[in-house]
Amino acid sequence: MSELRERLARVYAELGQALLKPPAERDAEIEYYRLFLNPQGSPCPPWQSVWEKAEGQPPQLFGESHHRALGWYRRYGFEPAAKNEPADHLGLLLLFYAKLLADGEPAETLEKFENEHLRWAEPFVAKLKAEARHPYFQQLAGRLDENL
Amino acid sequence: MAAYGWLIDEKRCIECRACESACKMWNQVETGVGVRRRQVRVYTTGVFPQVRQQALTGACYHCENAWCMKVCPVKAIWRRDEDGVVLIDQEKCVGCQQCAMFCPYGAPQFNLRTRKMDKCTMCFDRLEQGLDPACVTLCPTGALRYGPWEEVQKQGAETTANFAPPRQTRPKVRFIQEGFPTGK
Amino acid sequence: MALTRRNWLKATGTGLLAAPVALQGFEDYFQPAAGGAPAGMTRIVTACGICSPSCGIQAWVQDGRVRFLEGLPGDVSGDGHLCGKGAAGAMQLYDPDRLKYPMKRTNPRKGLDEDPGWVRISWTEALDEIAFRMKQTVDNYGAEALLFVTLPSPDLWARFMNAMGVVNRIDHRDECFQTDTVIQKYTTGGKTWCNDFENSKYILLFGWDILAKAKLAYATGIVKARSNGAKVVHFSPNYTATSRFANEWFTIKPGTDLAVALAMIQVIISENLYNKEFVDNYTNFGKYETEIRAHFAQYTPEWAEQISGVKAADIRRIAREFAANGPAIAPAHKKSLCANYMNSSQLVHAISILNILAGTIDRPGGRYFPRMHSIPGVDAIYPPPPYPPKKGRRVDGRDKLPLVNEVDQGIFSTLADGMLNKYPGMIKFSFWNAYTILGFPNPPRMVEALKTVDFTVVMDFLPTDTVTLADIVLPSAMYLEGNDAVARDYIAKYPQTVARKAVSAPIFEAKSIAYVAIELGKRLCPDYFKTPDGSWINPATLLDEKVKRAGLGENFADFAAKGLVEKPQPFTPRTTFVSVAGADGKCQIYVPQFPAKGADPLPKWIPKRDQPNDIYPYYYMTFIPAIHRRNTTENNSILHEIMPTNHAIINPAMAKKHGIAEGQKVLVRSRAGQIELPAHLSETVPPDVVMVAHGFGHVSRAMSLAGGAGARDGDLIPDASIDDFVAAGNYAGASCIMDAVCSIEPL
Repeated sequence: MSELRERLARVYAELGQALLKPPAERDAEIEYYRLFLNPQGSPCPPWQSVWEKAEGQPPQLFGESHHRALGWYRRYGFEPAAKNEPADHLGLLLLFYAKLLADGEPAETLEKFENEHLRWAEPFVAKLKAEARHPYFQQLAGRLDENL
Repeated sequence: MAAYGWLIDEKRCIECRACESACKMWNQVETGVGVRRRQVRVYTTGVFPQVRQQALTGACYHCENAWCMKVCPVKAIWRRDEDGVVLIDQEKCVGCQQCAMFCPYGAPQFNLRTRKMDKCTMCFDRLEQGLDPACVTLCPTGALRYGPWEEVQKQGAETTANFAPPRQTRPKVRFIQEGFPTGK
Repeated sequence: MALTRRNWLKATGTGLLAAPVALQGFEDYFQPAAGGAPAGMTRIVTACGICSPSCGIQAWVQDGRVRFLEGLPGDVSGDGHLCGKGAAGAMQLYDPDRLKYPMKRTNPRKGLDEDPGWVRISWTEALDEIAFRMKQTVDNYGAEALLFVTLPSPDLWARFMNAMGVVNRIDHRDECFQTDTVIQKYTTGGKTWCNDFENSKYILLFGWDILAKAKLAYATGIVKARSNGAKVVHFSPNYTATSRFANEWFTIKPGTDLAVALAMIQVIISENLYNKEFVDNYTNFGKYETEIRAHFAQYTPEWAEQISGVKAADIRRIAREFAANGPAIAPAHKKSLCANYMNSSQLVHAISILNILAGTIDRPGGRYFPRMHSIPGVDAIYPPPPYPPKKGRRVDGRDKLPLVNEVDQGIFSTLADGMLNKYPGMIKFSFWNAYTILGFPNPPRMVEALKTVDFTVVMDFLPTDTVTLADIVLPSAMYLEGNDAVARDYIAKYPQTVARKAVSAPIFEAKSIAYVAIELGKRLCPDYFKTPDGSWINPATLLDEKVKRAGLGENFADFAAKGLVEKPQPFTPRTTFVSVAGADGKCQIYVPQFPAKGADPLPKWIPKRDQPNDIYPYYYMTFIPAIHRRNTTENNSILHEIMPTNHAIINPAMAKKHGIAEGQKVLVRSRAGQIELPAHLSETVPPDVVMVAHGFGHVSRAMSLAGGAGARDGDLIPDASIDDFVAAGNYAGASCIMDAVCSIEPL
């Protein structure tokens, strides 16, 4: 597998995990929860179906894109380890995309996945850029913007 | 597109018809209206006691050169990009039965209540979720299997007894030829 | 097992799974996918109830409705699968014709063509009346006047019948495997339910269409056996799916398998081909060698050829192959050879001997005893007061067959004669649980017998013909609506038990027979239905206790969450077998205890009862199609669509002789009765056989699909008196459920 691909895969994997797991540093940890898992309303909910709401419908979790993502994972023999949570979390999607890259999937497959499960994240990333207060997340937003 | 094909191993069929029931259940195909998407057909040859039978499960082969698609006058039959599955659009279908006349395999059937054509959809809704078609899921002996057409087409033979010659429509199916091993 | 797409990718080495690349962090958030769950559906593990192996089920439920049924991976009974009947089981659950409420008849005239004039009553009223009638019957006529047509399960129901001193509890097992139970008690120590086909090298099938009956527990074993290079030999008059599957199929005259089996024993013994290690150490062959050799000497393959039509050279060769290619197995179960003919008792003994000579009793590749979880019954959990002795006469005459009496099963074939002829008017009250008149030979005679009973209760889930003859009808829950612990016993090398968990509550006012047992118990024999603390026995609590004591879980809910519990353990073959006095723990080829009980110590040749003659020149044969379960699935819409009716299946040569065209209506007659149905021409049946599928000919139009569809095969099968059985030497009570000859004419 080409070195470029390997490097790209690692980048995406890192980005994915950054969205899935809060950083260790106390202030950054608090900011993580404020941005993504805020009981009073997250400014940047990281799940695709919240951003791709159907017409006339309120944004919801476990929507269409959750099922489609699950279908992708299952076709390759995988499932999210967390059973009760939506499968279309951007972190999971990025991590899975990294796996597709790392395992040498053809360009058509990668493009298909990008169209179905990564393009939606543009407004999410824009919002993250606008909302992020801690440098860690400002940086993260910047890197997401570059790579997506 | 990642298309799928059927891989049939006739010798393993025990005629239990789990494939037929599974199809009916999953797809909620109405009974009593003349539509059985999947059927196990048993053919008898010879004169008693030199008699032999063949059990052949069949539905739709989502042919690479599907004649049903070609002959439909209202273009109701189309092929999905994702998986090569051939479907009949119930909105457009007018029930003229042209597709049934040209299909060599009896796949499209006339629904006596809706007055439209119905056929196997390869359970594409299951395929999308990473599940196997209902019939394959239920087959207890592996007589009916399927897989990526790229791989399946390298296996077995293109045709078998009581199967319409495949060269024209190129049905996506292969038939395992080897018999059971005989012991020492 | 079906090769799934994921497996496919693995097998061919393409795609992700072939060469996983280490990617930092991926495994923290992703795990291998378990079996696929369709989106939006809840998974409930349960067990099928259509036939007794009870294959495990994954039921997929959406908005409270069963959407799909598939097998349970890991379940040994279905090998993780279901057959066409099981897969369509939900149609039974939602059958619009299902009985919904208890009902009482208002028209006193009974007959299949009479409208009973049903009115709905409450369960309380139904149970009060049933209890009153039972008490009245016992007070005036004794317990012998009660007839319970039912299996002795569940245990609460058996308790009720035992508490009431019921003498005449009758079931269908004479039409099933009763002969095998009776005989194997003395030849190998008990009925060997299990057949280790997948490890067999030679499988000998007499008349048993094991594949067409689609008992997955056995069928998948045979497929695996052939995949492992085993040889399958099938003796059957007609060619079936099993014949297609066999390496060699031999047509044979109906009812003469006994001759072939006896000749095979003769070859194996006279040429000393038997498994010496097993025979010398574990059987009584040495003790009775002289008698055995002398007895079988007369049954040469040449003699057998005269009777069966199978060539002597083939019989000899198959016998030698059977003995040489171990492990070898000759299974026996259900209908096909245990019950069909008047000589089936002898055939089952002969088959047992063949397996003993092969040395595969409780050995790999042979017939073996199930290893099961020990699930205590209600009598162990809530010990009852002593049951009253069962005083009275057996209306089916079973007491005249001492060996059959020992195993407490059967007898359907002699019931009508008992009620009409031997003990007319003795039965005043009958309770039918999940049986219908179609299950009897000569059903019209059974209808006549039922008309002589003052009061009849029928509990079922569909409005069958028997329901038409009832005074009170009770609606039964079906298997998808109940909870239970279902032990595997058809394939059981180690204990495995599946949780049957209800997918929904019983519809309308349907209830289980356990409920009926408790409610009648409260009214008639309350002391037998109390727990030690004085409260009424509760089925749910009872089940929790059973589960806990069997080690299946903390309680049923815990067990149900697991779905399947197993205890893999090494298979330790038995070294002691028959436990009856005088057997010294050995398998018995010669059974010295039999003469005192009205049986021969060694199987001998007797012909089947009905032979072709001038009036009825053809053999009449029946069969059970794979897609139907005896007489209970003809109203299932999916299964009905696949096979809506039956035919008189005849060879084109017979058709030509009588001027019968395909589809033409024919009249088929026997000494018992006649039926009209369309003919179907097929080269799979011999030219002297008329073949009709069992299960059709339901009369009741309350079954909208099955009512009026097809003809009743049983009308041509003569029922019997117990004296017939005794006189013929049918000591193990084979029902003769296929012993008939017939004539045919076009209509």
